[in-house]
Order: sequence, then structure tokens, then C-alpha cells
Amino acid sequence: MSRITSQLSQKQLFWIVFAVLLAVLPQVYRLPMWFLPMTVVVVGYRFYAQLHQLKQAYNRILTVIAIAAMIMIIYSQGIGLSREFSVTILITMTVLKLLETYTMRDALLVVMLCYFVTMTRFLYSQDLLLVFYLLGSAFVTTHALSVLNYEKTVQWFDTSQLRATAGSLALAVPFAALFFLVFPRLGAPIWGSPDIFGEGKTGISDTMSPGSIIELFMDDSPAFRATFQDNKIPPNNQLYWRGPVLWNFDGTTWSRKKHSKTRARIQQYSETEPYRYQIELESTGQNYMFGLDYVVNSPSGAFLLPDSILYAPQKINQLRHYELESLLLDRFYQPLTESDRELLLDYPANQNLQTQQMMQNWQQQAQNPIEIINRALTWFNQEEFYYSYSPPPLSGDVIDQFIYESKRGFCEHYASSFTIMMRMAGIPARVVTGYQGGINNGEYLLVKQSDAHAWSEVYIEQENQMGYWLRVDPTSMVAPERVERGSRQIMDEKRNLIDYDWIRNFKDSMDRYRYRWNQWVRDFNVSKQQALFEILGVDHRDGKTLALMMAGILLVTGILSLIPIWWVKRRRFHALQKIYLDLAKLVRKQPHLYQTHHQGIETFIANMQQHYPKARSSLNHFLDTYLAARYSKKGNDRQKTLNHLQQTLLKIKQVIKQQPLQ
Amino acid sequence: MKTQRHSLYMRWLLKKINQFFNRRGTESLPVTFDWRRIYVLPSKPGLFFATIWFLMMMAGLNFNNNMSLMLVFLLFGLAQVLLYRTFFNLRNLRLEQVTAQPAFLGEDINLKITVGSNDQKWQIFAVLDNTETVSNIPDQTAQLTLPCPSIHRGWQAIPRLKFFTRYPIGLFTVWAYCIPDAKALVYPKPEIPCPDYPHHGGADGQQTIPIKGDELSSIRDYRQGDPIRDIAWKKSAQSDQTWVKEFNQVRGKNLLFDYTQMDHGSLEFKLSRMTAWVLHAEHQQAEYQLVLPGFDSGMSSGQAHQHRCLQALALYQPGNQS
Repeated sequence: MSRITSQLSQKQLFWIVFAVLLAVLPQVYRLPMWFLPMTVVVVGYRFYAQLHQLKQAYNRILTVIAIAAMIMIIYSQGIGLSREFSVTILITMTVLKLLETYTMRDALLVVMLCYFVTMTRFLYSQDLLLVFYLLGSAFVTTHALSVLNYEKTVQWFDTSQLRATAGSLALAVPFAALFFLVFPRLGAPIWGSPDIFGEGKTGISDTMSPGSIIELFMDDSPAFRATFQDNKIPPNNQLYWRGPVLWNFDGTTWSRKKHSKTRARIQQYSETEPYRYQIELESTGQNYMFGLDYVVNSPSGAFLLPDSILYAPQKINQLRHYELESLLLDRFYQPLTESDRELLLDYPANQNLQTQQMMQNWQQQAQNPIEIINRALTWFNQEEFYYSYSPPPLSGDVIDQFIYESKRGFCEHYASSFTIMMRMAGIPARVVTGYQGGINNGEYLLVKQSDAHAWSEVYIEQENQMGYWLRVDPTSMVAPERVERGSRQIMDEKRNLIDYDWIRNFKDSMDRYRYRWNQWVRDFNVSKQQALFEILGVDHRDGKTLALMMAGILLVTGILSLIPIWWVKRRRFHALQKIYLDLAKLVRKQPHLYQTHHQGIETFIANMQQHYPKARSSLNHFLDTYLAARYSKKGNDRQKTLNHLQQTLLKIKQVIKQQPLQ
Repeated sequence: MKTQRHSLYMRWLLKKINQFFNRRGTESLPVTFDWRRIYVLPSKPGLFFATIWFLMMMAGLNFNNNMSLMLVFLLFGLAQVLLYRTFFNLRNLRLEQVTAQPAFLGEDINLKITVGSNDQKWQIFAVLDNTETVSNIPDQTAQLTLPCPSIHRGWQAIPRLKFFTRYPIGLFTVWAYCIPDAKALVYPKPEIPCPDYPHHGGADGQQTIPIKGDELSSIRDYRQGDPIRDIAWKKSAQSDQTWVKEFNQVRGKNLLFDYTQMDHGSLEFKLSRMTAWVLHAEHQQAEYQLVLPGFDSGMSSGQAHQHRCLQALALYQPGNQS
């Protein structure tokens, strides 16, 4: 068909490019460096070609370009059937397709691919704000299709056509909402796992090297949300959310120990009531799950390792919910094996000699470990230590440098130094990373990446290889408000250009909507749907019931979206036609005569004149006025003409009434 | 023809389908297309849209990616709304009038189609065989012109017209058929080039001697058999072509074209030749008279006279001989 091969107009090209750019740009942040320049060149060339009416480049050249792009993708992202690879190929080829988009057929292909490209964005994140992207991209892409099909005017932004597209989309929204709720979901994926298409974002990792936590301080995105039973939230200085526990120190980097066992559940806890809460964990791309110290038992789908870490067998690439019970214990009793003890006392022997010397002195002077711990804490408190997000960089004997020279740092430095100091003094100790604090957002507690924290845990030995773990947070000695009121209180310097209090507050309150969004949309699944069906009174989820429901919903939504369109498009008569129909109604009781009004006003009036000779002149007058009003180009006074016709109609009516039916 | 390539079964099926489409027969105008006579199917882009949509739905369902599913369902809702929009864009379209200008056999008949509607309609296509034309109806009525091939001499019925629209997005084709109760007059095909006037006479029935006019009337390109002395040597030398001087060739003022006096050739050949004479005579503004068995135009000239003659030629049937 000629329509399919017809050339594109400038306006059409503009809308195609607009749709492609809008679909593609939100993913630019994770695409290779060369992608954006390539897009600019392709779009620029395409417009240049359109303006100068250049012909499409030879297929051979286009093939070479496509192959070059493929090589670049493989070079930047590696080959494989991963999400990144396939999505990057799709996006790159969509953009390159613009080079050979000269006819309607290719244009339709590109524009419809934009819908697909838009969808791939949601494989990475399903944040609330992306709704605007969804609607915007759907709108522009649909409008591009509309412009491809038909251009009402040559204006690039034709208001009436834009309004029509927006109207169509708006009418589709209720339909989409209903379908979203009742369309049968799959319990388990047919192929692949949702985790390979997860929303990878990194939180706290299982190593701690200088500067690894500082990145998190800059990030205000949510780490997880905790909803406490009966809204009983522990005080802020008790909110230590335990993450990876780090055992090994090689001089600069802390790393964790591999375990082969799991920790048993805490059996007896008569003295305090456990806190019960649910955690909604954002995807981390890691295996760790967070809980308040100390978790009673592992939730389903996770192990509880001996150092009380919650460990998921698979990486957490999607929003995840789990229920926990925690006891806020001061002392956590646990036996310690000899090999573990050795590990916890290990430190690089030839480094930080100054600190080693000091700690040996302290050890000799002290009666018991508690005294050493207190002395160290007092020391941190009394010496000129400062809490700072921008400490000077350290190298070599990092502990010595920190303690005696720079004396500036944040939790990472204090926890790390304190733990090594304890080990030097013969007290088994380890670093615990995680989050501290949280913002009470009404019904839940919001913990952000910027709440990341590191503290120490020391083991106080008692007789018979028994002993207990004691949490020590040296940061609280330097900056007590960090632990009392949260990380935000100690941020004096701005982290970036727009780091104002009111923006942070706004973001935090926005998280409330995000929470709802997660609850209702992002995490909607088979079980929630099942619950919904039960409310509706549908207990069985068998094929027949579902098919019936689907048919019912289709019918209902079909009618719902039909009604407004029908209403707008219903048959309407303009004023002149109405008067003509009034005239016809005068003789409604004579079907033969009445029927002839379909044949046009001339025939009808001639017929009426035969029946009612007395009304001949009035009828003639009616006819003349009517035809003049309807067909003459002169813009005479409409209302006046209508009134005149009305009067004539009355005259005819009188005549007809006087004359009995024949 | 395309249909001949189909198998027997397909031909039977197509026949049945067309019988169904044509079940209303010819209809007197105006005809309003209500929902009973409107057909709806997805267009080719619509099918492509459906394919992409299906892939998106499978991906969204498989990974239970709820935002993808939102987009998928939004598009499904959109398709449904567009289906209605397209349907309502055609519904209550009125086919008010179809008029046809007389045409010569072999030429296209120009159909003037008047469509009307009480609301605004956009992108209404009218289709006849393989030609289509598009129009909007922004206010009450609109006119469309469509060429229709002429098939035979005389009154030719207008074939089935198709009206369709894909407005606004083009995912669906909504169409309706109508065979209007209208006819087109097809004159016989004039013989080209116009042969010499007949020897059988002028007004008096006497034979006229062919006289070559003195007046140079025009210059045309060379045809086989032109006398050498008529060649325009000067002009031919200036260009690649050979040009021939044409002289005004009125042989007597009154021309008579009588069917019965033409002795050789088939019926259609004679009519074709007489058509050419009529046209030529009218062009030269000569007076002429056409005599057919059962018809005598009388000696005259002018558009109306020409039309009368051509119509008689178009409708002439040998059976009419009395």
C-alpha cells in the first residue's frame, strides 16, 4: 500500500525522534559513555538529512554502523544473556534505526518499539516517580503514532490533536487500573528468575575500606522501612540495624568471615518483651538482610549466621518483605571457639607500632577488659577528636595516623581504630556495619542509605569459654548526637549543592507516598490478588473462574469507556434541523406523509402542500427561509432566522389544527 | 486479475463473503452508515502493535514487574478506547450523493461523492477498486472525487464504494460498503486520430468534394501518410521532430453523419468513428447532424447538441432499429 511506503514529513520525524529520546533518556545513566554522543549525532544527522532531502544511506554503510555499535556494546558491557546486554542492544538499535527511518513502515516500527523500550526502564526500578515517565512516554509515543497516521494541521504542536491523544489515554487509565488488579498473575516465573531482572542498587557491602561508607552518606534513597507492631518503636539510640559483621583486617580493608554453621534461636528471654516488626527491604544486590540487634530467629528464606547476620541464599534484587522479632539486649551470651578467638585478636603485627605500645601499657595497668574499654572511650571523648565527613586521606599506618595526627573522621574510622585497639589490648573485637537510627514517618520507620553506620562489638570472656558480646559505639563518644538523634543532626557542611533541610524533609515526607506505592503497586502479587479476590467473594483461583472474571471485567470496562465516547459522539441535531424535525412532527399521525421527511425538505414540503393547501404560502416561506439559512454563505443573524422560522412553524401548526385529518 | 490465482475454494469463499457484503443491493441515497453495517478489524500497524503488546505482557507477567504491567494494561485500555474512537468516527456518516460526469469509454469516470455528518469526522477514505481519496468533514458536508474506470458504453452502474477510516491512531480499520443507486453515462471511445469526414454529404445530402482549407490552422507532428508538401520544413529543421502544417479542413458548413450510410466495420467501430466526428465538428464549431436508426439530432451545434448526439451514440442499441 502506498501509505506504508510514503515519506515522512518534518513534523512526523520530529515526533518520532521525540518519542525515541523520551523513551531512551531515562536509561542513559547506566548506558555506556559513547551512547549519548551517538544519539546526538544520529538525531542531528537525521534532521539534517530531512532538511536537505538527502536520500537514505546505503544499506552497507548502515550495516557497518550497526556492527560497530554491537562491537562497542560488547566492549563496554561484555557479551552474555544478561539484562544489561539485551536492553542496551535494544536501545542502541532503536536509536540507530532512526538512520533508516524514511518511510511510514519503519516509522511505525520505531515508534512501537518505544513502548517496549519504556518498559525496560521498569526492569531497573519501579520507583513512584517513574509513573510520570510512564505516562509521559506513553503519551508522546501514542501521539507520534497519531501524527504518523494523520496530521490534522501542519502545526508541530496541534492542540486539538494533542488533546485527543490525552483524552484517549485518560479514558484508558481506569481500564488499566481495574485490569491491573484482576488480571491473573503468575505465581512463579515461566522462565528465568525475576532476580536476573532485578533492580540492582548497592547498599552496604561486605567489606569496609576507607571511603566505602562515605558514598552512602551522600545517598538519601531509602534502604529499608520498618513497621513495628502496635507502633512500638525503640528509642533512637537503640536502633542499631545489624548488617555484615567484619572479622578480618589486612591493614586497610575489613572483610567478613565465611561461616559454615548457623546460629540457633534465642531460647529464653523472660526479662524483656521482644519487638516485632516487618521490614520492607529495597533491593541491594547483596545477600544481607537487616535486623535490630539481636534477632531472635531467622525469618523464612534466610539464614541466621553465628555472628547474628541475616543472610539470604540469593541476592536481593527486588523489594523484599520479612517479619522479625528482636530483643534489645545489652549483653549477648555466646560461646567463642579458640580459632574464632585467635581471629578476633589478629592485627597486622608490623604496623601502628605507636598504638600497639600504648595499648600494651593500658593492658598492663587495667584490672579487667571493661576498664580498658572505658579508658579507650574516655580517651576518644577527651582528646581532640572531631567528627567529620571530609577527613584527610590516610595511608600506611592508618591507625597511628588517625589517632595521633588527623583526629578527624566518621564512624568508619572510629569503629575501625577502636576495634584494632581492643585487639591490641587482648580483647576479642570485631566491626559491625549496618544502619543506625531512622526517621519516624508516621506508621513506619524510614532508614535511608545515609543512615549507614559502623560500630564495634567486643567479647567479654568469662569462665569456661563462655562470655558475652558487648556493643561499643566509639562514634557516640565523639558525636553523641549522631546516635541520639540520627545522622542528619551532625551534618554541618552541605553534602552537595541542593542539600538543604527543607529539601531533605520534603524527600522524607515523599517517602510516605513511596511506601504506599510499594504496598499497593510495586509489590502487588499473586497472594495480594488472592486476598483481593476473597474480598470480592471469589474463593477459587481455577481457570474457569478467572476466565469468567476476565470476561466480566472486559465487559464492564468496555462499557465504562464506551459511555463517554458515545456521549460525545451521540447524534446531535443543530438548531435548524430541530426546527425541521418539529415541522415533521406536526404530521406524525399520518405515517405516509411523515415518512417523506427523510427525502429532504423540498419533497416533504411539496407533499404537505398537497395535504394542506391552505398552508401553502406559509410552507413556502418556511422552505425559503430554511434553505437560505442552511445553504447561503452569508453570515446573517442566526438567532433572528431561527425565531422567524419558529413563528412560521406556529402559523402552519394553526392551519393544520383547523383542518381535520383526511 | 488477482482472483484467478486463488484456489477454487478461496474463490467460492470470496464470492460468499462478497455476497454478504453486498446483501443490501443497490441503495437509494442518502444512506446513513449505522452500526449494523460497519465492519471493524485491526489494521497492519494494529497487528504489529498487538505483537509488541503481547511480548510486553509476557515479560511483565513472567517477572511480575508491576510497572511494566501498568504500561501493558494502559496500552490495552488505550487500544480499546481507540477502537471506539475509530468506530464512532465512521458511524452516522451519510453518503448523500454520488454524481458522475459523462466520460468516454477507456477514460476514467469522475465520481463526485458528497458525504455528510452531523458531527466532525476526520480522515474519511473513499475507496473504489485500487484508488482511494481522503477527506475531512469539519462541517456538515464534504466532497470527494474518485476516478472510476469505464467498462462499457451506455449507462454504467457505479460499483460498490467502500468508506473507511483509521483515525485517530491507525490501529484499527473501520469500514462500510455501499452500492449507490447511481449511474454514469459512458460515451463510445472516439477514434484517434479523427478520420476524414464522410463523403456522404452535407446538408443537402450531396457529396462534398474534399477541399483543403487555405487557412493554416495549426502545426502538429508527423503521422504516417502525410503528404510531403504539408511538412513544415522550417520548423522541422529547428527541432528533432518532423512537423506538419495542418490546414482548416471544413468541407462545407453542414455535416451529416448517418449511421446507415456507413457500410463497413462493426457496430462499435462505426460508433467510435461517429463519436470522433461529432467531437471534431464541435471543436471546429461547424454545424452537424447525427442520424442513427430511430434518432435524428437535427442540424445544430453547441454543447447541449453535442451531448445529445454523444448520448444517443452511447445508448444506441442495434435492436432499436425500426
